[in-house]
Amino acid sequence: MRSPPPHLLPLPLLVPLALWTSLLAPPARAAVACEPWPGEVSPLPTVSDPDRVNARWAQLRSLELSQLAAPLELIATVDAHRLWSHVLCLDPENSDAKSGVYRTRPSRVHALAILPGAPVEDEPAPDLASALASIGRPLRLGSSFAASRSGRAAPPSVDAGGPAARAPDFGPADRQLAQAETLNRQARFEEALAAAEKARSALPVGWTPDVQRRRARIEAAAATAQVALGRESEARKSFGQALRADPSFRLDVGSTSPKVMRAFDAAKSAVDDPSAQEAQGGAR
Amino acid sequence: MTARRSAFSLVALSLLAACATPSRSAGPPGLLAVEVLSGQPSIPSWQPATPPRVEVVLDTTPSMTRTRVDGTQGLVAARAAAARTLRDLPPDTRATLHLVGGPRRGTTCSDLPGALVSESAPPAVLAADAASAPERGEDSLSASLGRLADSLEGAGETPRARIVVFSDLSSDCGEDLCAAASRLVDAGATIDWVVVGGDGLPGCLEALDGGAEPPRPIASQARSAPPRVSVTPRDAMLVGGEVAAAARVEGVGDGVAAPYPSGLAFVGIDLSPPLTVGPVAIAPDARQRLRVVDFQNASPPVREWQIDLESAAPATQDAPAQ
Repeated sequence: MRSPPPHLLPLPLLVPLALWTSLLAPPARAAVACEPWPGEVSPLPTVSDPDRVNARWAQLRSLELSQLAAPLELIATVDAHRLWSHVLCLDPENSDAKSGVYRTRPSRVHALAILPGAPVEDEPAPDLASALASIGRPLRLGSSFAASRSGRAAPPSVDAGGPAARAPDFGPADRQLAQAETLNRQARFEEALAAAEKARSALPVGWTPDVQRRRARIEAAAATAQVALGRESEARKSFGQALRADPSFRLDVGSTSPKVMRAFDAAKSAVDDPSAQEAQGGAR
Repeated sequence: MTARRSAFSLVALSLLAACATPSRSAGPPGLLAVEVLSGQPSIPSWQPATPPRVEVVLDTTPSMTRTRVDGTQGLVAARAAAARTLRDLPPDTRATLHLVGGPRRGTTCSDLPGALVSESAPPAVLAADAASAPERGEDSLSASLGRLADSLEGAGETPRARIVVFSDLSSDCGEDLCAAASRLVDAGATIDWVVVGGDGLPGCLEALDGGAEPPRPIASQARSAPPRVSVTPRDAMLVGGEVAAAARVEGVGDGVAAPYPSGLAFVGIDLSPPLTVGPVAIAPDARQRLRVVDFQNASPPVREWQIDLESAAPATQDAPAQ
């Protein structure tokens, strides 16, 4: 539950990551809301309190509350948000708490975007959390909605119409992919993930090597952002998709953080030997 | 013979006690504050009787037909997005579709504010209904959310509600959307706003954070009273039994300094399990503080203590020992 040790991240990532995490920290309201809860030390200390005993208490308390918060994220999201926010009061640099506060924010705004092209048959979400996490992704309505674009009556279903036959146009997908990779390097992971999702949607349908290589890069960009956002299991799935699209796909060891590399290796092991993973899953 | 030995033992014990107790009167007492800094008394539990429920709120008011998103009519885009969200849900999800809009086209805000049309069904069924939701009359999204809040509160389901609103947020009825949203969030619901076109976004929506008070299962846990403290001179402990009991001075571990006999002593704190610290040198005419960090629910349990000399010559004492 504790933050990953800083030495696990490559140096070029540290500064933007710090910047990013400081941006994610709840601003003024959280600062004024750092009051002790009943039974807590007052005034509420932090882990860097000059008093060793207070600092130790803050450390143990933040760990205790983190362990309570994590399993609550789906069943009592607002409570999880309050817990993560309080952990940030105790341990302002706690990256788990920062991403927890972000993940569990009780009011999230998504601007719906409509992408050109035919509707894509989405895979059903594996669970409720995944379904809720993807609410704001862009939408494709397809050419059958041309009437609606002109303001006339629209057909009701989004599933009408099949994929339009068209020559592969990688431009939109490549632009989104490049943006996702750039945003990852700038440690703007939420935006990077959104760009990767747009790239997914913009990628032409097909199984040609050109499509598959791009698909692998898109999934890897998504996975990198997901690791940074603490969404490890989603990251492993994305890396799995990348490897299934292009089994020769590899990450650059020199510029990839060990945490991302571990997620990739775990996904690769699962792809290489699915039975081993099933056995491991069964053992759990 | 046995009686004589017993008598001797009693005399010896008395002498030892006399030797042991003088430490109480040998010099001026020292002040000692004992404080326990603990974690949660026990692991609080959140036991949802039922899993989360998803409330999809689809705005079908006239503004949705006027607004446009990427060239598409807002209502068309909102229907499609709501249908997709419902299709994404696992089949066993408890879901409800709420259509916001007056009963018929041409109705105005004041006709029946917040007249939600709600339907609970498997997500796939609701997806089809969302995809074909008709345009309805004017109505207030804020009032509709207020009605939803009433309904969720009545069922005791607000903390489990995941609300997804598809709307342009263009209120034509002049009500306070932020207040309606705040009511839901403060009661434990979460809201995703999928904004379809529209002119502007109320800044308050992203700032809603549900407040900073502790979650109820944590706040409602009874905190035990400060533990009892006993200070026993080391010499008396060496003799043991009744002597130790006679020499013991009782206090409370509430962080308030109290006088205790100076000299080497063992400090017992009535925690679970009990803690004995020492021997501690209680300095005469000094003020010391013993603090215990106690997290018995940690894995492994943690209990650490530290004693600090706060001042060599205390000006005052906070409270008398008992």
